[in-house]
Amino acid sequence: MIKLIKNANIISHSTNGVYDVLIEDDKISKIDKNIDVDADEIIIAEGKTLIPGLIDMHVHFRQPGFDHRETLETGSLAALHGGVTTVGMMPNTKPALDNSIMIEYMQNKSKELDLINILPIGAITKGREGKELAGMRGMTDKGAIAFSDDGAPVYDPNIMYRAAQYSLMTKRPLINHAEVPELAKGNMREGETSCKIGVYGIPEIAESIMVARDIEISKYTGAHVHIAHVSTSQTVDLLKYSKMQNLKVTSEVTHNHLLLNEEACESYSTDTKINPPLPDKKSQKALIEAIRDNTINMIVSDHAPYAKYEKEVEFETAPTGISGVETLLSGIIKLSKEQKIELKDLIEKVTYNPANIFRLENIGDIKEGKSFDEIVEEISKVEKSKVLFSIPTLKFLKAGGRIGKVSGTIGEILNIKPVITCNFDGIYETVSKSRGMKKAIKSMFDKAMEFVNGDEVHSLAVYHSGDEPETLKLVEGLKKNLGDLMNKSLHFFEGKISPTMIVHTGNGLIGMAVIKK
Amino acid sequence: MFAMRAKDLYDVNDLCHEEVMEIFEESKEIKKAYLRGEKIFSLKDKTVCNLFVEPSTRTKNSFELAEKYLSMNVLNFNTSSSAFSKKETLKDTILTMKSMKIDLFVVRHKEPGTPAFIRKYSDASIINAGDGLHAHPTQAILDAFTMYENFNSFKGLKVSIIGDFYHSRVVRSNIKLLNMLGADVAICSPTTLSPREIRTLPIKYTHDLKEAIKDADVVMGLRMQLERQSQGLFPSLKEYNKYFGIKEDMFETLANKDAILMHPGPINRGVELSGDIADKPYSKILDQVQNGVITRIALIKHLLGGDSL
Repeated sequence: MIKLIKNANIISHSTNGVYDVLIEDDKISKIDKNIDVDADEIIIAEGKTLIPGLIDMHVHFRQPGFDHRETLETGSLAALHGGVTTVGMMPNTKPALDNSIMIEYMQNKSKELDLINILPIGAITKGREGKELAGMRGMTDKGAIAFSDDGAPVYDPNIMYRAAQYSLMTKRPLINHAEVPELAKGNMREGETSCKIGVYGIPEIAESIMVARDIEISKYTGAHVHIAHVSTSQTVDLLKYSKMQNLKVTSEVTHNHLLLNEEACESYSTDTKINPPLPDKKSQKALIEAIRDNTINMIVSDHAPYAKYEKEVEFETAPTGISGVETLLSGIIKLSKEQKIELKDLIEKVTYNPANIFRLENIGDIKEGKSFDEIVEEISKVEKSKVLFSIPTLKFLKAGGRIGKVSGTIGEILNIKPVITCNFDGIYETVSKSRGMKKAIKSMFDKAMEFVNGDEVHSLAVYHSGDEPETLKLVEGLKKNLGDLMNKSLHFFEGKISPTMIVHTGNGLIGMAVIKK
Repeated sequence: MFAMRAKDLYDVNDLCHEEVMEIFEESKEIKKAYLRGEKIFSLKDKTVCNLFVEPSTRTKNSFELAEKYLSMNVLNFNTSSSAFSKKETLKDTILTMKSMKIDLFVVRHKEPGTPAFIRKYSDASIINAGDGLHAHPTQAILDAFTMYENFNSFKGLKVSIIGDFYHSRVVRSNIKLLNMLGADVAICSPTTLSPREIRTLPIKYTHDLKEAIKDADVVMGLRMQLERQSQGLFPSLKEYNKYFGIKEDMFETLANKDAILMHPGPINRGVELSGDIADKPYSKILDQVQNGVITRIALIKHLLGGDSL
């Protein structure tokens, strides 16, 4: 099987720029300008970006034991959807991945599914209980790539010390979830927001005290210690110290801790309840700087999904964690734009660096001889599409918490119909406000034309909810206006939105989507 | 131009200054009628659900009395008699209640943010009767009304609140409301019971009791709970009383001439209040209890739009 990718804009550790890539039997055999061969499949990647498949070294796929939250299959599909082709799977399943049989089972399952590489991380201690060492050598032989009791810290310093010594025989890193439990009894980061909204806070020292201990243990034993999900500025300072001392200490941060801070908790949304908690602004800034100057080596998602009903509870009752493997890539693209960090530097933190740190051969780079699990990421395409919609009542969006209470109430009194778009990050934005539905549809049409701006249109879609004659009449009107554009575009779709969506919007929604060529 | 009326009360800042003053003026009228034993019938077709997921005696009784005075249909939902013990989620409880057509939820919960959570599943009005450490707006309103009765103005009024700030939703709501009304607020609490960010708040902070009481117009004590001792937050009730207990001689010599003593209750004699200070004429603790019923009547009327007296 010979595959050829033409004219891709490559971003990776080794190769950068517009090149053709030749793949033979899933291995990159040649990277060059203008490769001309007879290939079984040719992908024209003109104007598109090619990056190595992402490596997310911190995910919780929940199987076995918590299949209602996620299975290896749903987790793998989510990963693929987000451009992630390799994951490090944490062992907090039930039973825990604490012996070689479990590791072998994971390996077999992963092969059977044949979707992504699921790399098992074994437990440091039996049952992740922090009492007796787990069989780390046996697990290494079966393919465990690191060890962690993630979700629980290795609390006893003597056990951590002995685990570090023992891990030297495996040449695999220990990943510690650094958190002093006695200090971590709250539900968000202790700070201005926790004080304001009355939520018990977790002080930052809950993390840094144990990170300091683990750095000392690494220094004393020479073992490789990897600090999971760094969330405070003090930890960043400790990592700088360990770097100065040339210690075998590496670290990671989640994209959520880089993109969000404690203020996101103000709405009491249980999606903002994660562990470690979202940082305050000062620490968020320190984490971003640590990514910029390479103090922190990699970015992970800490993908920790729950069933919807488990999160639909009060804030303090809710479990900690959100899914993230699907948003890791869009998260770093956003970070690159907002913080003006070279996309290449960030891509390396989810490809080359994790491959390097965890000694994963053949992946994480675009280079001759490497295996091919790259994704053609259509980064530019997202900006070429626009979704617009308008709804007759704000009641449902309001009830769903999707818009502010006040703007909802005032809007309804004044018969204001907003035209809403869903931006790149999945956030709803109001682009214009009109009195009455008819004017709103006109405004929506204008906004769409403004977006098209004379460019060629690939696809066009018009959709609505409910069957009220009023709605259908407005849809016909919109289609009439779009007539010209409909003829010119390659594809035209029309339909009704799914009942699941109607729960959030109510009947009478009219919307449209445009994708430019 | 018409004035927007709040429909819900999650915290005091759901009301604007004018609305608070309206509620106070209405409360004055209601108090006269209440003492004459007259009832109000304008909300007789409305149903209120008192959803108390955290034990409470006085706030619940106060609300219930206010609701009955307004002739409302009252439904009491307590933890002990509910499906909560069988682990029904709050979402399902609200959906169940909603199907019974509830006009108003009065909710007390140990979890902060519960009123906003309920809003996701119900269109009824919501009054927060205390959510975790977050807010207790009706207590703040009754406290401020008691001050208003005594001083008739908030301008330059010096209010000193003494006790466990960290665990007090009463303090959090009081700071907001008293700042809105123009009073000067000082807080006196042990360093272990003060939020770390206390210096960023619009208040004066001290841990010197005498400094707090000096020249105060209102001195408010807060309940100190014994369990804080085992959490490592203070050494003993005896030491707490020595440095933070409000004493008669201190109050009488340091506070302003017409100063009043307040406390949200229930009081611990010999802990946050020394000796017989709660029985002195300047103690308005029992007035607060009565004003609690009065202001809650005025507030429910305000939110549900009942006719004037």
